[in-house]
Amino acid sequence: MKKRLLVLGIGNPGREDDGLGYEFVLSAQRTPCETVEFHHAYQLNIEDAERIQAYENVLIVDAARGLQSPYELSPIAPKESGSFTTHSLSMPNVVAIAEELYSSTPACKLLAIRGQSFEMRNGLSAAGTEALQAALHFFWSPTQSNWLPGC
Amino acid sequence: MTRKIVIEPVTRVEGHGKVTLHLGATNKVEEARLHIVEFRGFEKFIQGRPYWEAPVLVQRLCGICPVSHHLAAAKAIDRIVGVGPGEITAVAEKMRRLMHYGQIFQSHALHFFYLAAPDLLFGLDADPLKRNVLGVIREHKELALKGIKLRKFGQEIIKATAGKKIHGISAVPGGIHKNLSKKEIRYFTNGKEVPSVSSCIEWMEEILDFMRDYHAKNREWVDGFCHFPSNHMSLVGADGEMDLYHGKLRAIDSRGTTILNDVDYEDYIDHLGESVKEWTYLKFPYLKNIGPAEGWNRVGPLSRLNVCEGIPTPRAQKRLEEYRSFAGERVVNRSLYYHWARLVEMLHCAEYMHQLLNDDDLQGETLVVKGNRRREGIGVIEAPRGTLLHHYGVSEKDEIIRCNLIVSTTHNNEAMNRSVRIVADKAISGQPEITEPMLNEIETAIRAYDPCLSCATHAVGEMPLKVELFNNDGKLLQERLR
Repeated sequence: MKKRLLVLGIGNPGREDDGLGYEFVLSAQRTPCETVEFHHAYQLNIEDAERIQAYENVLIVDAARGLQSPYELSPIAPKESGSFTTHSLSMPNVVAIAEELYSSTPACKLLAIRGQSFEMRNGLSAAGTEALQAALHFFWSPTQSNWLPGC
Repeated sequence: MTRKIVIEPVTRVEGHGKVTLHLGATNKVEEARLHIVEFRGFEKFIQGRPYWEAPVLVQRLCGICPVSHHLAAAKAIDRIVGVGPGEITAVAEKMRRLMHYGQIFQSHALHFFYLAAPDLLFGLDADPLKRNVLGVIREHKELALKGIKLRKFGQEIIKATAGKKIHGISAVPGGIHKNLSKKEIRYFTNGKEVPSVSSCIEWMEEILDFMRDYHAKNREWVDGFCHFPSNHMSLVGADGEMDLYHGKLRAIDSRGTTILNDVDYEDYIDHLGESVKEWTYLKFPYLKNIGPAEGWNRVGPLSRLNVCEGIPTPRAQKRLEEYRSFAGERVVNRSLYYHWARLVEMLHCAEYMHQLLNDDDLQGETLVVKGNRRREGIGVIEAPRGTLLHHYGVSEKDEIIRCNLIVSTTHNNEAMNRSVRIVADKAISGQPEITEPMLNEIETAIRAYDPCLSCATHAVGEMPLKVELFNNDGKLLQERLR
């Protein structure tokens, strides 16, 4: 039986707001919830297809530039891309690989959090911290309770 | 009119490089170069940091082989705290070895299954939309699934021994931060969440059968592709056997004559020099007794199999004998044999990890030893891509004041440039039109070395292949993107 929800934070906490996905996971997993599992990675890899195929729902959390609001939620549809390097594997690509290899297509969404500064320093910018708090508030809000049964 | 072709970036390699080709009037390749266009400066900015930070800081060079940098630095820093090779405790050495062999296993798996296999399975002239890892997944599902699981096994070994899959922290000056419990070991032997180490061995045997048959079916192409003489260098154990963690430095020429005879790597400065060229950030190492023109070496799996007397695990030793027998020569200078050699090493790593996971020394409790403080330390290790050297000088205040790193890909710099030139000349010279498969042939030659041109932590983004054609006035004549 598949597990309910995986929250997968993406990013490098050594590059300021690039670590928003990591910080999101760190903060969110402080609230115990049996039906949600958390994981963090610097970047997506092919092995993540194996990871996500075991879940009904997957929320990928990543920093983004240029958002109009502090965070944005959008669905991720499987889409193959011919190009591959270990430096860049897109979210739709990972979902497509899960579908191809494991005949599994979890419902995937991207929670993009607005970042402002991506220099080589630990810690979030003030604007990044503010956006993170807004995204966490949204994540735990009752309107999202269909993701978080029993929490 | 001369023409210049630029391939930037080179795809399916680790990091960012570009190739330039200069064509003469009859489309003859007059010059071919692999440029490494990233500058990282680790040797400089680590200066002033306390020496004990080196194993954790310097591994940030790379997101694919950080364990190699972590351990090469740890070996160097062992010397600074007065601990020589063989003086760390059994648990510390075996934990480090397990971490290292897990690292090589996962790195080789990544390269073979994700980066190299598309060329081998589909051919160099296949549609690029098919000639990639997704094509492998679609048409060779079982192979792809095994590739993913094998890499995962190696990554989980790293996590168990180093604390994290990327940028671990457990090798400390004079030893190791943790041991491995029996419970942790069962994760790698019961086959529940990751394939058991025994399954990894069996799968590698199957994949080596595939590779042997592939070579037999494609012998003319594989043997003839980018075949050129070179020296080869690696660490070897006390009896000349393959040892990826520790040993003496040995080099042989293209026919097997020893040209560097098992020297202590702490004396490397007497034997190895580095030259520079204005068009690349990558240096060109060479043996001082021969000089820069002829003293350059290939390193990595091909060279390790050429240099070693044998492999100290039984199945891999048999596969080495099969490999040498098939090649029909003691020293293989054929570049595409890198892939086969890489798979032989994966089998060796799997066998060696099996041995270590059954070794009670991993539960030892004396993790760290200390000796008399020194001001200098040198550590060398066989990283996935070849011989990796770290050298640190430390002040009385414990600050690093000097650092020299010679990374594996640097040793292969001259060989990669020659490979580009040879393949470009054969594939492109005299051709009226430059096609995508011709350019891929050049990339295939570079990929054989599995170069690690940078680390995996720089900015993520689109990496299209861009080819620009200029006339001799620098005017852009044609541009192609893929």
